[in-house]
Order: sequence, then structure tokens, then C-alpha cells
Amino acid sequence: MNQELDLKTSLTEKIKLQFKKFSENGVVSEPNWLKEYRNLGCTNFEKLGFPTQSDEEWKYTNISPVIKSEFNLTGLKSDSINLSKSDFSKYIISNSYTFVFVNGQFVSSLSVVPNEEGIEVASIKEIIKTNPEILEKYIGKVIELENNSFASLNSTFFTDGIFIQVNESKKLSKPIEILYLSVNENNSPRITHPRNCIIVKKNGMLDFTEHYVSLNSNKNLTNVVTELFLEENTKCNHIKIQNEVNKAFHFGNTAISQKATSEFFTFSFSLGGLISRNQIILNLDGEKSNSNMNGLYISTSNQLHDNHTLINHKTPKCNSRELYKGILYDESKSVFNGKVYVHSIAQKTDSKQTNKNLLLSENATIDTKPQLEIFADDVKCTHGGTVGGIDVNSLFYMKSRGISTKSAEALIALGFASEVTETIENLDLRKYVDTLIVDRLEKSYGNISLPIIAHSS
Amino acid sequence: MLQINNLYAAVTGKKILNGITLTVNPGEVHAVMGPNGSGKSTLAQILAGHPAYEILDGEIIYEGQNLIALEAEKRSQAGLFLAFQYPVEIPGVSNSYFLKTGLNEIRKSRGEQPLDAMEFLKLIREKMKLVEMNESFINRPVNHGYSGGEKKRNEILQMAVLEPKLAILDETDSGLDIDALKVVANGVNKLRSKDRSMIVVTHYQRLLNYIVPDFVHVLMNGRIVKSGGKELALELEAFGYDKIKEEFVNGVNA
Repeated sequence: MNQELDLKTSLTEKIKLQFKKFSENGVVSEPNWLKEYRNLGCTNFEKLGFPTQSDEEWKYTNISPVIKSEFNLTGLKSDSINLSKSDFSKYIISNSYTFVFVNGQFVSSLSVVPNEEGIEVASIKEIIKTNPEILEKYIGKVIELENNSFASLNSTFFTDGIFIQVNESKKLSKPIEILYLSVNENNSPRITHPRNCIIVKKNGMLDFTEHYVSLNSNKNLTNVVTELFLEENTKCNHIKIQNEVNKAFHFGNTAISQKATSEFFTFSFSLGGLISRNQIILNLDGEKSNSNMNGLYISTSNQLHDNHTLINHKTPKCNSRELYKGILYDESKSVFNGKVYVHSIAQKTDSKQTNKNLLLSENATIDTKPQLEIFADDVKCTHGGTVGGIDVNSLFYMKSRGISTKSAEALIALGFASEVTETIENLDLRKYVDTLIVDRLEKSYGNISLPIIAHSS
Repeated sequence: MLQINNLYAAVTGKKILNGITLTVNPGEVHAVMGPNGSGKSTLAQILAGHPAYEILDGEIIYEGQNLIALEAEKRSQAGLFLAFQYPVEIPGVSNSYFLKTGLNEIRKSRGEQPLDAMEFLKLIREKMKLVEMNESFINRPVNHGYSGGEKKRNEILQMAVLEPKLAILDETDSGLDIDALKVVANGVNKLRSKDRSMIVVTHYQRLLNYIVPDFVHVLMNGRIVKSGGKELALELEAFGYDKIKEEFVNGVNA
């Protein structure tokens, strides 16, 4: 305990010092509200420190390897990295606009930026300079820093990210891909704090993908906060792909506010990283809004994938569907903690939450905790979780057609995963995600060859 | 082709088969009938190699080799096929990929060249006509979201593509309306040949009006209690299983 206290004291000193340095280092010209917000983040983090397993929300996720890595928490580092598109072309999703970030900083020369009427897109760094008033209305308005170490840290030190505002009744001709490349050219571990702020105004529509990859195998930590504001009658499809190197740490906080009759689909795919955690807080803030929250984690070797979700039914007549699936190999570990919270005012809530896991190694572990908290009396809510191996009858069926056990198992795993991508509307995006699933499973089964996923629709 | 000798089997400790003896020669069609719980489907699953069943005694010789020692995929590669009573849904995997993989494994085991995508497409299109299946099923996931009838047709399509030497049809008629039954039976009849044997497992005589067997066996309590020609099925239809049960209990056939 004393040691923990000592660590915390030294961490407090460290962040104070680093924040001082950070503040002197160029944020002097920032508006006061932003300075105050950073201060709030810093104070919060000083209070909280990094989470430990004695914290109920972190019970199954041990992040001591992160703490031991001695990151420079500010993320500030001057480096000149020259990339050309061919260095990352395989991460570019076809028929999307691409916003490329290298080590957390926007690089316009590598990006393909939309120039369409009614859509404002820029880097956060740019917006802080040119139009901070618009940011002030949104930054920190849906993400809560209280009890959230990583979001507090992000709020203290973020310098860049994406800002998208879709104006009333507008939509883009194609989706936006936000590509975060980690290129750590020396061995000292580095941290980035991307901050994304997305607004879809009344009747607008948006499809976008957050895509996190590493271009080399050095250790890095991505600590991202994404805030989404969906106004009345909007539609938004969001995909997040975490495909960083197996040494990386990834902490993601996504917070969404959905107004009346809006529709939101999100798919979170955890593939890379050594320790990664995605936390999504979805607020159904307007009547008759609909939400679909899907997720997939494929965990191998000693990876740890943690997904924490909260669906907050705050208004009547909203629907939410949540389906998270996991495939675990080797000594990997996954955590699913999903809470559906139905406030007393949220009558006629219709909610279904499911978590299914395919456990394919005796040494892999899954901790699954679907939770329902209901304070309204006229609702329809179900939830459930399953953990199991390859279905014996499916395996027998395939073998009885001449297919070997190994191929059959890989195909069954493929089929298991296919359910969560089936509902991705944009077919280019679906195909991209499906290809990632196939690649990963081919590797997991010793480089066998697998087909593209066949969907029913 | 197939010789089952005094076969005893159990599932989760419960004895289901109590000494089955059956010989099937090339080109013959044998119907195995019996009331619910008599062990018909168990026999079908054991022949195909379902791992849940424990063989307590007896032997199964298929084309001179001990079938019990073979894994399910090896049995398939040796020319054995089971049309499932409840075909399994495999989401994410297209019918064509599934069948092409199976067929090429079988061809490989016989030392034949695997078919390429074009050759296979030609083959599956041709075989689909046999069971009057729409070509859209080529790319649809295996049995996923199919109706009961579509699943059964798909089983016969698989049989047509894999061209087994011994086909076991497990309650292929269950859940089919009369039109679908005719289509399926018609497909099966076109696959009859002097080298191909079939075991048709069914509860009702109805299917046997369309797939006319050479022999009929009645299974009760895990034993064949009566064997005969196709007329035995008609007798069962007229008098039900109870009459045979009585004879059996009275020792007439015991």
C-alpha cells in the first residue's frame, strides 16, 4: 500500500511538472476556457492517478505495464518523420476521404480532404486557432472526466485530432476515414492524445471510421477521446478499428449524445495492442432514438482486450441493440463489461444486449459482465452472455463434407465473427473490416487460406 | 459395400443401439424405418462419424476397411455421405466455398486434381438444376436463413456435387410439403446408380412412394426387428408400428 502511495505521489509531481512545461510550451495563446479545461483535466488526474485493480471498473485489467513504461505524459516530442502514401496504403479504405495523423499530428499533405458544401472538417489544432468558439460549445460536453484517468489525461494534453461538423440536412458523398499512424522511430515509448469532436446537425448524415495502426513495432500508447453530438433526426455510422502493433497500449473513450429520432450505428473492432481498452458511453438524450452497438475482439498471444460500454436510456421510446463478440486464442484475455441503464423517465425502452465468446484455448480467459439497471416499469430489456468452444454439431457437419478439423474450426470462427459486420451498411467499409478478420484468422490457424465472408444481405 | 455386424452403441451412457446387423450391396437402396426413439438417426450419425456416440461392441466394415477408426472427414473422403435431418447453419461461409473445399479435399484424397473456381462453378450450376435451386444460393451462407425445404434441397445438392458411393438420407422428408418432397425425391432418384448405395432413414412411408427401396428394415429399441421388400413399408403404413411391436414382444421375430 505504501508503495502504491509513493508511486502516486511521484506521479502527481510528475504530471504537475509536465503540465507546467506543456503550458509554457505553446498553449499560452489558447483561449481561457481551454486553459481551464486543461487545468480541470490535470487536477482530476492528480487526484485519480492511473487506475489500479482495486478500482471495481478495472478489476480485471492490470495496466502496470503501462505505468512501468515511464511515458512522457505530455506526448510532446519534436520529430521529423517523412512518410509517403505507399508506406500506409494498405490502411486506406477505398472510397473514403482520408485524414492522416502521424503520431497524433495532422498531416495535410498525406490526406484527402473533402471539399463539399455544408461540411466543416479540420484538425483540432487548426480549429483551436481559427474558430475556438465553435469548439467551446462541444469540448468536454459529453465526456465526463470524473473517475476517468485517461480522459482526464487526454483533456490535459491533447493538441490535435479531428473536428467534423455536418451542417443541417447535409451529408457527404462518401465516408471519412481518420487514420492514426504511430511511427515511433526510436525506442523511447511515446504517447499520443488524439481528441475528436464530431457534430451532426439536424437531419444530417455522416459515416466515419477511426483507424489506429502502427507502422513499426515500437511501443506506443494511444489515449484517445472522441465526442459525438448527434442532433435531431440525424444518422451516423461509426467504425473504430484498433489494429496497432502487439506491443502497443490503447485507451479509448468515446462518448455520444443522441437527440430525438436520431440513428446511430457503431462497430468497435479490437485487433491489435498488448493492452487495450475501449470505453463507450452512449446517451440516448432524445425520444425515439435508435442505437446499434456492435463490437468484435480477436485476441491472441498475451493480448488483453477490454470493452466497457454504458448505454444510458434517458428518454422514453428509445431502442438499443448491443452485440459484442470475442474470439480468444493462446494466453489472451478479454473483458466485457456492458451496462444498460434505464432511467425512470425512459418508459417504453426496448433494449437487448448480448455478449458471445468463442474460447479457443485452455489458457485464454474472458471476464464477461452484462448488466441491466432498470428504473422504469414499462420496458422491454434483455441481456445475456455466452462463453463456449467450437460447436460440436457445426464441426461434425463440416467434417462430414470432407473438410479437415482445422479448416472447419477456422470457418466456424469466421462465421461467428461475420454476424457483427453483417449490419455495416457501407459495403466498402464492411469489406475492409471483413478482410481484416479473414487475415487475422488465417494467421491464427497457421496461414491457411480462408474465403471472403459471405453475408445474407 | 457396407457390413454392420452386431453393433451396440450408447450416447452419454444411454444404450441406443442393441445389436444391429445390416448388409448393403452396391446399387441397393435400403429403407430404415421405425418409431421415434428407435435409434434410426443414431445409426445414421454413427455411420457418418459423429463423435458423441460410443461404440460398445460390434463392427462396421465399409469397402473392406474398419469405419469406426476413421474420422468423419476421412469417411467423407472415402465416399460416404450423410444428408442431415437438421442441416447446420454456417453463417459467413458461402455455399460454394463450403462445397468446393469439401469436394477438393475428397478429390485430393483420391489423387485427383482439385477443381478451380470456374470448373466448380460450372459443376454446381449444373447440379443445382437437379434440385431446382436458384443460383443465388451459390453465394449465400450455408443454410443460414434458409427455409426448412431449402435446407433439405441444399443437402441433396451437396450429395449431387460430392457424388458419394454410399449416401445416408436421415429423415430427408421431415418438414417438407408434398411439392418440395417430390423435387427432393426426384433429385435423389436421378442420383441412383448401380454403383451407388443408399440408406433412407424415415419415419413415414410417404417418402418411399417416391424413392422406392429394394429393402425395408424396421428398427425398434435399437434392433432390426423385421426386414422385407418394399411391401413391408405399405404394411407399416396400414397397420402402424404397434402390430410389429406386438409380434416382436410375442417373440415371433425375436
